[in-house]
Amino acid sequence: MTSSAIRHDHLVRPRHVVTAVLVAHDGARWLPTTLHAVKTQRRPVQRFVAVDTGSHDSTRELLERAVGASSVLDAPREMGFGAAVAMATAAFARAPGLASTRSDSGAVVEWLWLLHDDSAPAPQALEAMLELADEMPSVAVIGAKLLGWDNQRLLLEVGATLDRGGRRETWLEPGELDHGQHDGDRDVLAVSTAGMLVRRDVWEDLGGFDPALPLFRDDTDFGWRANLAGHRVVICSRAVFRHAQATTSGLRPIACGPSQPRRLDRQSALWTMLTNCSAVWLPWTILRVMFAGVVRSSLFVVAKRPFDAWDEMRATVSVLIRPRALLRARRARRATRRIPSREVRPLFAPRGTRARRYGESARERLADIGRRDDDAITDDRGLFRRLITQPGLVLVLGLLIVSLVAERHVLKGTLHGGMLLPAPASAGDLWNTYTASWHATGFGSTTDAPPYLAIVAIIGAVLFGSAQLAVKVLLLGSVPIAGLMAYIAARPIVTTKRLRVWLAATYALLPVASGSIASGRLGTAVAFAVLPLVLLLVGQSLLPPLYTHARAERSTARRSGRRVVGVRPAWPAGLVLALGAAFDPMLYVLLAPLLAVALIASLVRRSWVGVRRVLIVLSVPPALLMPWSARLWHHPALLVLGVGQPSGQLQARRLPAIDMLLLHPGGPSLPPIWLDAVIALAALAGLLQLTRPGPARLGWLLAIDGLVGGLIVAGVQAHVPGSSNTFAGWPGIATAMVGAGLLTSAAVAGTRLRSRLTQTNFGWRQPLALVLASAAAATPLAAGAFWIADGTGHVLHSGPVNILPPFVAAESVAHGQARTVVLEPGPSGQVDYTVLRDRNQQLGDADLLSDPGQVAVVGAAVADLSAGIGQRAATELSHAGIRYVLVPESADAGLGARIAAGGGVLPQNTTGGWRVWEVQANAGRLAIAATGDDDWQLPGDPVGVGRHAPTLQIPFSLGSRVLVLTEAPSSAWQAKAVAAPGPIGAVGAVATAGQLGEVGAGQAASQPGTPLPSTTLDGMQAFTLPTTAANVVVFRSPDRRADWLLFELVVLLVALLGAIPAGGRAGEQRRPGRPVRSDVADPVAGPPAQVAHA
Amino acid sequence: MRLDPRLAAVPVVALVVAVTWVAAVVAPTPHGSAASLSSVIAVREANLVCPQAGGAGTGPAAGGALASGATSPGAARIAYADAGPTDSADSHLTTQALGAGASAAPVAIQPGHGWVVDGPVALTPTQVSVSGSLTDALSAVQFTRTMVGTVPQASAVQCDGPTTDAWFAGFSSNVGAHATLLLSNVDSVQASANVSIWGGEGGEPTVRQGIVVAAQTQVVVALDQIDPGLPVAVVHVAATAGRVVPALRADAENGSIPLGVDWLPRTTAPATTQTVPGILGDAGSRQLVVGNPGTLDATYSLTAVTSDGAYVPTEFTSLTVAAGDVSQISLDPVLQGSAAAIVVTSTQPVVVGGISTSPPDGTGASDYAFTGAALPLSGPTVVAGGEIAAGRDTTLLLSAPGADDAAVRVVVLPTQPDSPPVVNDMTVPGGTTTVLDLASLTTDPAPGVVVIPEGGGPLYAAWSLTEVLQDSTDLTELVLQTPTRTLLRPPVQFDPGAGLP
Repeated sequence: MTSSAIRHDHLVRPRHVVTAVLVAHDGARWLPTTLHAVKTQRRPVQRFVAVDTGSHDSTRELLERAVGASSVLDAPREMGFGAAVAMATAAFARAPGLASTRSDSGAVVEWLWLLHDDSAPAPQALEAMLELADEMPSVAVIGAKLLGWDNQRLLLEVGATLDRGGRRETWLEPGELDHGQHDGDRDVLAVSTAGMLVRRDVWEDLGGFDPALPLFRDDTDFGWRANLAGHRVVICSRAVFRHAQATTSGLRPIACGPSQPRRLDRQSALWTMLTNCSAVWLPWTILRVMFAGVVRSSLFVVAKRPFDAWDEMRATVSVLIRPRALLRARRARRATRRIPSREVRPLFAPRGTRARRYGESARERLADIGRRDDDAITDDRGLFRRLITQPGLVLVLGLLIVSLVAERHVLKGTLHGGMLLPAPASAGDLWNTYTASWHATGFGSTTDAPPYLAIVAIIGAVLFGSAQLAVKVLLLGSVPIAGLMAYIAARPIVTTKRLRVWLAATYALLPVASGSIASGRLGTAVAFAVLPLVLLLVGQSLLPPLYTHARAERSTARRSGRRVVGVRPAWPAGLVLALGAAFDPMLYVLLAPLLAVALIASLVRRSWVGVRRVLIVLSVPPALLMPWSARLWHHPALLVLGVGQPSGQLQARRLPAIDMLLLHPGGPSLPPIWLDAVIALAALAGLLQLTRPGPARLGWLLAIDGLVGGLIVAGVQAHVPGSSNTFAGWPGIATAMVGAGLLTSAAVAGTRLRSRLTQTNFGWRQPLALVLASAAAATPLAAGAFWIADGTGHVLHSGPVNILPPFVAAESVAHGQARTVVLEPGPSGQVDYTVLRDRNQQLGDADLLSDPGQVAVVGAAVADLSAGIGQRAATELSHAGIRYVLVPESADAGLGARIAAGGGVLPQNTTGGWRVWEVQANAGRLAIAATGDDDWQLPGDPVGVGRHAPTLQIPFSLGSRVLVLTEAPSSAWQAKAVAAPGPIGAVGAVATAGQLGEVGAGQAASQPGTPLPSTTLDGMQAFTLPTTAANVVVFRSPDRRADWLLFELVVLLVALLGAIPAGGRAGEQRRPGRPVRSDVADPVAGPPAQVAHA
Repeated sequence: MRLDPRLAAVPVVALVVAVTWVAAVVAPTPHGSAASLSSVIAVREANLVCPQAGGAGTGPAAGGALASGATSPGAARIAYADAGPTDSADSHLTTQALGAGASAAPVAIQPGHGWVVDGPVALTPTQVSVSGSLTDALSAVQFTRTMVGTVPQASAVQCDGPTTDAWFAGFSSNVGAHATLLLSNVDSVQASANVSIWGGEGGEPTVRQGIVVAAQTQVVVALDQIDPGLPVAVVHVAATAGRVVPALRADAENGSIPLGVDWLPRTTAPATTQTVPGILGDAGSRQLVVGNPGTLDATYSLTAVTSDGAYVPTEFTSLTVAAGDVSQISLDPVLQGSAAAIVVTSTQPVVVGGISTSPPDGTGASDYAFTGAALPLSGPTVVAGGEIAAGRDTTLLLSAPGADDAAVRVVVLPTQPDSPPVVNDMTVPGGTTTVLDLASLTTDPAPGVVVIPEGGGPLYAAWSLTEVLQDSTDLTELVLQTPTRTLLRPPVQFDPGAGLP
C-alpha cells in the first residue's frame, strides 16, 4: 500500500478516507508486527505515512520497506509525538482528489489514524472504528481498546479521563484482565493516541496536539478540547490494539522529553487543567493546584523521594509562573469551544476516585501480607472460620483469656502498687507532665519527664483519652501482646506454626511476665512485650550484612534487579529499640554488647552498610530519648532501677545465678522455679543440631548476654538519685532475654525433632526426646495454670487512691500553698514518707528527681517527728513548707503516740483511715524569714507563684529578712518587686534610696521590675527583701524543655522517614528485556500514569 | 578437618557454668534490715514544769528550812542536782514563770553537785528549760512546806516534762479532802485534755472532756468538785491535742486539823503486772490502791517485797476489783512497819498506787505521802534535794522484787562546792527491799542522789523525806523514774508511693 492509494470503491466503508500516521522511534523490536498488523487490516487504510524520529536501530529501513521511502519522514530525535504527527499531516496535506469525490454512501470523510510503533491493531480494528463512525456521524475521535503486547488478556486502556487533580484515570484495576467487562461504545473524555482515529477536519480545527505537551497529557488535552468543541469522543471496544507501552514501562529510554519525566507529567497535567477548565473555576483550580503541589511534595518527602518532591514543586511553579502563556493557551482554546464546561463534566472521574484507589491499593497490600502470613486466608471457608483457625489469633485470644482470669482481682479501678504509681485520669494530664519544664510534685522537680510518659499518654489518647486505661492495657495486656510479638518474630526461625505457637505462648508466660505484672513494673512489662520485635528487627537489620559482604550485596542486588536496601532496616530497629528502652533502659544496655560485636564484625568484613546500620541502631534510642538518656548517663543507677517507684521489697535479696538460667528473676508471684527447667534442656538440644546451627547459637549468645547482664543488675546496689535509698536491681528484662534466647534454641531443636527421630534407628534418644518434648509442650500450660491459681499477688492493687482529705487538698491550693507529708510505718521499723501538694502522687512522679537537699531537710524533719522530737520537727517541717502530716490511724499506738508525745503538731481529725496532724508553725510555699527568728511569717492570702499570681504584700520591717520559696534553689526562680503604694512603701523607698533600684517609688505596683537578690536558706530558694514595704511577684523563668521537645520531634521524624520504605524513583528506568509487572502502583500517585506516547 | 558442629555446645556450657560460678563467688552480701539502721539520739533539750514553785510564804520559818536554807512556810523552792561531768559548757539552764512574755532567768549550773534556789516571788508554775548534755543529768524537785493551821506539812514533786497521757492513783474527794489537778502547757500551741475519774459507783468513769490549756498557761482542775465523795480514786489525763504537764496535789484536813498534803507521782498506765516501790516503814498506816479502769472484773494477788524477803500474804492471794472500781487495801497487817515494795499481778490491766500515812500527833494531825507504780530503773536516775539534819531523814527505798540480786551504786551529790561526791556500791538481794539512810553516807544538808543500777535483777527505788517536828511527822515521797534520755530515730525513706492503699 502506498500513499497514492486514495480510494477504492470495493473497500468496506468506502466514504471514509483513512491516512495512517505512524510515528516510530527505536522501535525495531515491535515495528515488524505493527506494520504487518496495519497492512493486514480487513479494511485497509488509503494512505500510510510514517515519521522516524531519529531512530538508531533499523526502524528506518523497516519503515521504508513497508511504506516506501517517499512516505517516510525524518524528524529530529527529540521530536515529540504530537509534533511528529503535525509534521506528517502538514507534509501529506490531503488525499489527492478528495475534495471532488463523493461516495455512494455519503460525503467523503477523511480520517487520521495515529499509530505508535509498539501498538499493533487487530485485523478488524479499523473496520470497526469506521463502522462506528457510520453509526454515529457526530463522532470525531474514536479510540481503541488497548491490550497487553505479550499478555493479550491484560487490559491497558479503554478510554481515559482526568480526575480533579489532573491525573489520568483509566477506570481499570492494576492488572485487570479483559473479560469484556468494559466493552461497549461510549463517550469518553479522551482516548489514547495509540490507535486514535480522528477526523482530519476536526484535527485541523483544533490545531492538533498542543505543542506545549510534548510527551504527556496530549491525548487528554486533545479529547477535552474536542468535547468542548462539540465533537463526540468515543471508545470503540471492538477495535483492539496490542500495545507494548515501551516508554511507560521503561523498555526504551525517552529521547524526546526532559530527564525528569515525572515533572513533565505533572507539568502537563497542570497545564491541561489550567488551560481547559472554565473561567469560573480557574481561581479555585489554581488554589487547588498549589495546595496539591505542597501536599504531594510532602508525601514524596515522606516516601524518601526528595527529587520527586522537587520535581513536583518545580512543575507547579513552572506552570504558575507563566500566566501569559496560560492565558494565550486559554484564548486559543476559547476559539474552538462551543459548549459549556458543565456539559463535559460527566466525562470526568467523580470525586473520591483517587481515595478509592488508595483504599483498594492498601487493601490489596494487606491481603498480600495476610496471604504471606497464613494460608488459611486463601482458602474458601467463611471469614469466621478462617479467623478462628488462624494460629496467631487463637494464641492471642488464649493468652488474653488466661491473662484476664489471672488478673481478675485488679481489672477494676485504678492500678497501683509496687513500682506503679496510679496514672492520672486523663491522658492529657500525663502529656502535660511530659511536656512541662517544672513539675509540681511534692518536692517539685525540674527533671525532664521520662519519655515513656509520652508513649502512655499517646496510647491513652487513643483509648478514649484515659491514661489509666492505657496503663491497664500495657501492663495487664503485656502477656498477649508479648505472645503476638513472639509469634511474629519467630517466623524467620520457626516455620512450623504449632511450634511457633508453642514458642510464643511459652515466652509470653515466662515468670518475668507474671512477676512484672504482680510488682507493678510497667516498664519491664512493656519492654518484655516488645523484646521479640526488637530482636527480630535488630536481627533482620544486622545479620545480613554480617553474612554478606557489602560489595557482594550490591552486586546481588543489581543482578536481581532490585535496589540496594541500604540502611533502611536499621531505622525501624532503632525505633523499636527506643520504644523498649523508653520503658526499660536496661534493654538497650543488654543489647549494646551484641551491637558492639556486630559493629566489630562489620568493620572486619568491611561491610560499611553493616557499620552504618549498627551505628543507626545504637544511636537512635539515645538521640530520640534525649534528654532522658543523658540523665541515665549521669545516673547509671537508673538503668538498674528502671522506671517507676523502686522498692526493696520487690526482688530477691540475693538471686542465685541458676535461678536466672531457669528463667526465674526472683520477686513476688512467680511460678515454681523448676517450671521452666525443661526449656534450658531443650535449648541445649538445639545446640546439638548438625544442620543450620546458626539460630541456636545466636539464641545461646543472647541467653549468655542476658545472663551476665541480669546477674550484674541483681548484684548491684543502686543508689536512687535524689534520695538516700539504695536498692538492688530486678533482672526482669535480662531474664526475658535469656528466655528468648533459650526458646530460640529450643525451637530449633523442635523443628528438627520429627525428622531426626524418624530417620534414626530406635534407641535411647527417642524416648528421651519424647519426654523432653512432652514436658516442653506442657510448660506453657502449666505456667498459665500457676498464674491463674496465684493471681496477681498482694502488691498490685486496684481501686481508689485518694489519700489527701478534701480539706487538706483544698488548703494546699489556697492558704499559702502548703504541702502535706504522708508517713507510713514500714514493716522493718523504717518510716516511709512522701510529700504531696494538692494531689496524690501519680505515674511518672517517681521518675522526676527531687533535690537531694530538700529530701534531706524533710527526711530529717520526718525522722525527728517519728522519734518524738516534735518541736524541732515542726520548725523543720514548716521551713520546708509542710503544714499537714498524715499518719495511718492504725499507727496510733506506735508512731502516732510518739508524734503526740513529741509535740509540735496538733491532731486535727481522722478521715479515711488517716489521722491528720497540723504543724504548729507557719508553713507555706512562700514565707518571710526574719534573721534570728525560727518562726517564719506567711505573707498572707492570697499567695501564689507565677507571673500572673497575685502580688505578695510585704510589710515594712526594721530588720533584715528574706522571702523564702520552699523549693529547691535554682537560678530559674526569680522575684521582682516594686514599692508598695502605701506611705511606708513608697515613702520608705524614697527614704531608703536605692533599695528598690531603678524602680523606686515611681513605678506602678502592677509592674514589678526590680529583681530581688537571690539567696538560699535552709536549702531552699530565698530572695533578700528590702526593709521597705513592697509588692513582690515570684515566678519561674522559662528553660529549655521546649527545645528538647523540638529536638525529639526532629529525631523522631528523621527516624520515621528513614524507617518508611522508599518508593520507586521515577528516574529509575526499567531495563529493556526485563519482564514488567503491570500491577506495580506508584505509592504516591496511585496507579501508574498511562503515558500517551508509549 | 571440619569439626563437628555439636562441639559448639562445649564452650557454651562451659561459659554458662563459669558465669554462674563467678556470680556466686562475687555476689555481694545483702544489706541489713532497715531497723538496724535506726539511730539512737540523746535528748538534748527539755522543758520541765514545777507546778507550784515560788511564793513569799505565809510566815516565819517554822521548824527549820525545807531543803536547806531559810524559807518561809508556804513557799516552794527548787532543788537541782546535776550528775553530769564538770565540763558542761554546752548546757544551759533557765527558769521562768509559765506564761507568755515571762523572761527566762539563767540558773548557774553546778556540775556534780546539788543546789537549791528560791522560786519566783509569786507562787506560780515555773518552767525549767534545760539544754545540752545537762538534760541527761539534771533533776529538779519542787519542795513546799504548806502550813495547815499551825502545822507545817512537807511535800515534794518532781518537775516533769510534758506528756499526752498520765495516770494518778490514790487521791480522795471525800469531805475534807481536796484533789487539785494542775495542767500546765509549756508548748507554744494550745492543748486540750480529757480527764477521767474512776472510783465511783457503777463502774463508769466521770469524764471531763475538752479542758483547754492555752499555750504557756496552767489550768487548775478541782477533781473533788468534778466527782466528789470518792474515798479513793484513780484519774487518767489524756491530751487530745498538744501536750500537758499534769500534776495532782491532794490535801485533807479535818476542820483545822491537817490530815496530809502531798503530790501524787505519776503511776504507770494500766497493766496486768505493776510494781509499787516506796511503801514506807515505821509507824502509821499503809494503804494500797488498785483501780480497774477496764470493763472486766480483775482478780489480782499481791506480793510484798520487804527486807525479809518477798512473799504473798495468804489473804492477798486472790482479790477482786470490779470493772471501773477502785479498791483500797490496808497493808498494815502484812507489813507491820516494814518498808516494802508491792507487786500486783492481775488478770486485767489495773492501775496501782500507795499511800503512807504518818501516825497522828496529839491533835490528831497527820501527814501522808503517795507512791505509785513504776518501771525498773534503766539507768542513772537523779533525784535532787532531801535534808539531813536533826529530826530530818532522807532515805532511799531500794527494791529488787525479782529472784536476782540487784547491784546498785548510790552517788551522793554534795551541795558544798568543794565536796566530792560520795559513792556507795551495794547490792539489793533478790526479793528484798533495802532502806538506805543517806545520813549514813553524808552529812550534807541537802544532798542530791544518783541511783545507778549496775546489773542483776530489776531495781525499783523511791525517795522519802521524813521530818519529825515535836510529836508530828511530815512525810513526802518521790518515786524514781529513769527519764527518757535517748530517742530511737527510725530510718526514713522517701517513697513516693507511701500511703497508697
